Amino acid sequence: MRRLLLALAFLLLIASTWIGLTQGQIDPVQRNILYVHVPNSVCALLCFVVVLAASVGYLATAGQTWDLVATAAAEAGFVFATILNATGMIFSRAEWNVWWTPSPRLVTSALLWFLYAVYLILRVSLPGGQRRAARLCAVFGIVAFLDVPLVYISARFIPDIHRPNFSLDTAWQTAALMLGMAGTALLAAGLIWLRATLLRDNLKLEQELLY
Amino acid sequence: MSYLVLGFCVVWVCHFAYLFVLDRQARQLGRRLDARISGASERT
Repeated sequence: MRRLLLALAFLLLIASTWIGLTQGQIDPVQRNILYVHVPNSVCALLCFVVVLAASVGYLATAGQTWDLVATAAAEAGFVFATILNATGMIFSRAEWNVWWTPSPRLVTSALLWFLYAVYLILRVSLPGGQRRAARLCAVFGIVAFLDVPLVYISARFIPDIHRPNFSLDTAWQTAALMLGMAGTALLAAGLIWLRATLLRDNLKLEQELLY
Repeated sequence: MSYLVLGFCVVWVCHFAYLFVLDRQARQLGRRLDARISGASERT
């Protein structure tokens, strides 16, 4: 099932890239980065919403599944946030001739990457038992989420070099973006599922070895 | 054009790098499980 999900995600991503670079090409050519930048950015933010929900769930119930889901979503979200920042920098260089500039959207996006990098470092380095680490990470996961709405609203309410939104001209362009969104969302779901299962099996094995 | 190619390459490299990491962890877990099963059968 997981393999099917990942295979379907990659098929959709290939279809999105193909349509985006043929029928739905945006002019000038470097703006076609939008077909990967936008879906990966949206999925990064969605993964961090999952981290928030799972962190609240863990603090409310102390159920281990919540903790595993939060870890898996944070890892997947970090990968998407890396792509968000990298493709954003490449687009910025092509469009505005600078790799990075301290605009509100770019600063909050960079901060997002660092916050979840810290989250992942905390996950593996906190001393004092698994339950204590999970509790502290859940608290950090909730605090780190405060940056997510800032990323979303920064370009909308503060004057910014980054556009708050964009419009597509043709149905092919919309189709390419929607396929990209669907493919990236399926990929995110597949990655979180796969990672959470691996974490659960690892934990089970370790507990069996202990007793 | 080069920036576009660079952008798409970054995306695919990041996705496959993470999938590669997950695949390696799954194989490692499989090996540990195999070792545990063979260890258990030796004891019995």
